Amino acid sequence: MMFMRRIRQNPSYLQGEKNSALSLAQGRLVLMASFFVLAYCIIALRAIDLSVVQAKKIDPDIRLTQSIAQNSVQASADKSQSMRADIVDRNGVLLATTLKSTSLFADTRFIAEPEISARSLNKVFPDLGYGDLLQKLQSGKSFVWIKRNITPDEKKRILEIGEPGLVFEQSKHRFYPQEGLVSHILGYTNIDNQGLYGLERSFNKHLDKSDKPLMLSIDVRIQHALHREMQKTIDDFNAIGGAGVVMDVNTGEIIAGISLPDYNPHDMRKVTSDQKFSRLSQGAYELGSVFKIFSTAAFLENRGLPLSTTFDAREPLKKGRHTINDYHAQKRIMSVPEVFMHSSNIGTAMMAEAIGGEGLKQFYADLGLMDPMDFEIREVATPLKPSPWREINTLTASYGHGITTTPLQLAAGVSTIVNGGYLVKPRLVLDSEPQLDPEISVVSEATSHKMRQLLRITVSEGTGSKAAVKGYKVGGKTGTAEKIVNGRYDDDKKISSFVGIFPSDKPQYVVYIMVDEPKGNKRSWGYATGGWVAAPAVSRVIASIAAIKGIAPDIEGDQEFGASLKQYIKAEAKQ
Amino acid sequence: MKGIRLRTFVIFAVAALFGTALLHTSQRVQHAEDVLASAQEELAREQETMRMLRAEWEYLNRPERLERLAKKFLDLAPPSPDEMPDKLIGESDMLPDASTSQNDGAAATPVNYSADEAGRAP
Repeated sequence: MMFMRRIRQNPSYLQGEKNSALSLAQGRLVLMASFFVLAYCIIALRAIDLSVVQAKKIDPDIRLTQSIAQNSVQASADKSQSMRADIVDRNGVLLATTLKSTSLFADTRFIAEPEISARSLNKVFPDLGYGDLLQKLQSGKSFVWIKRNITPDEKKRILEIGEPGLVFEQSKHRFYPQEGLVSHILGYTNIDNQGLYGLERSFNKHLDKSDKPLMLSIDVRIQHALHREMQKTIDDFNAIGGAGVVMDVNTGEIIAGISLPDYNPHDMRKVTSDQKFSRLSQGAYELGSVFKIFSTAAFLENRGLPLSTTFDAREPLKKGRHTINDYHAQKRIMSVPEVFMHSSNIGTAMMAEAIGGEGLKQFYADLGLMDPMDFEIREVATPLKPSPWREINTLTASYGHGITTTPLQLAAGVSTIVNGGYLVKPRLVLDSEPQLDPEISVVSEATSHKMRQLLRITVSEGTGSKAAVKGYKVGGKTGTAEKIVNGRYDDDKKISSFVGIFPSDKPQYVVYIMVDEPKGNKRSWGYATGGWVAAPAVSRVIASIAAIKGIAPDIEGDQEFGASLKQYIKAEAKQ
Repeated sequence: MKGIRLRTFVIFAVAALFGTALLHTSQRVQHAEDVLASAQEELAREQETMRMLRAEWEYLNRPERLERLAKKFLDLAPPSPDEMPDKLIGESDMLPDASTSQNDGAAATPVNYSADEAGRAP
């Protein structure tokens, strides 16, 4: 209104106004036009860039996958970080790893022509029937599994079908290249790769977080040798199972550990509870005469009596309503080496009497035989001890009856006795520094030396002769115990075992094999005792270890070690 | 009026120049990102392939399988102490070099295996 009034009052003003308004409009038009020109220039440049410049660099197919790749790279980088760590043996051989796999499922809501898609799928997977596939694709569900763990080639062929309703899912699964060989030690995981048993369970968090492989003390070559010989023994003697361990006597490192029957960790659905059960660490057994190693060591250590001390084993030992007999009865007065090499229950019980109940109990506890072991795997048994501990229990415990422990603890106990007397604990995970604790000495070096001699002479002259390996100075002790069935010892159900050390003058390894319920066969003359069943297996395992580790045989020193004990052995005892 | 027009065009020219430079730079960055992404993708794929191949290698080198194949195809057996010639025993320097180094074990010796054996790999 103001503007109009001004024009009416002064026409000349209007003339000047008109000119300046026109030029202003013109300027604005030029501005607008040049803006559009510039915009079109940019669009044209960009069009040239996309269609000419970049098209030369890469063809459109790859560009498409690359832009997808670009998004997925970040994702896959995250994934590889969260990949559960590998487990390897002491030489770096892979025991457990995580592999990526692709699975195929269908979102049937997006499938336009189920018949055509089912036919195409059937061509890729001939084992999945056309009818089944069609039924799945017509189900109308948003999620139907077609096939898990498909190969990259199959994936490519499915992409070529071009059906939007077929969707891939990336997943990870745990793979055990050695299959069941290390099963009870490694354990297994569930479908979400969470450890449910063994090291997979006890190191679950560590394996999830760590990017370094977990290195074990196991050597798969020796593990295999032990597995092979144990399986052979179990088959030969028609046994129901067994446990075996090879341990480094100086560090407690478990070089091999087997429990049979074992299982394939890739297929846990069919596995029975007996297969899952680890006789090595979960089974506590009365292990029999192998315990004489401990009671004899306790006698030598605590009483300080010489090896020439004699025991009257002419008559069975009577205590109340119990009678202690000898299996390999010599019916004579015997020295310590004779008691040990002929595995006399009477003689050993007399040694236990000399030590006393408290002394023996304390000694066993010092060796770690009485309590659940402090171990890297959580599945460990609690050893059973007599309660209350009566006098008779002291006598029977001296030869491994009325007291149970696990095969692993026994092997560790024997290691402690023969390595110079310092305590070792079984361990599986190899650290950069071995956890040695030479401070805790259970027996003196002198006792340890005597025990090594006793073990050696048991193999060279006594009940363990079948464990001998020419040139390797094997020492050892047999053990045969009857299992308790319905509250009574059953003569037909035995736990037969043998513990061997080699070389006995300076032991490196202890090899323990326990066989559950062996039955005598023709070759063993019907015997199913430790000396007939487990000792030959231990001998073969030691021969294998020597070959694998390249330990040279040494016949020269063979006559030397343990020979000094022969002065205590009566001539008639040597058959 | 003329002054204004000249100035405008200069501004437009400079803006266009900067725009082109920016476009060029952004193209270079995008190209570099593409190269990086494809390299990373390839790296991830190669690493995954390596994991897979290693697992397969270890699977095919199981001691049990090597032993079975050696028995079938080779006339070799592990040395047994009983077969050791007596003159060798005690003179360990005459024995062949013992293989006790790291990684010398089951995974060390490649063995020819038949096609059906290979087909059983995971």
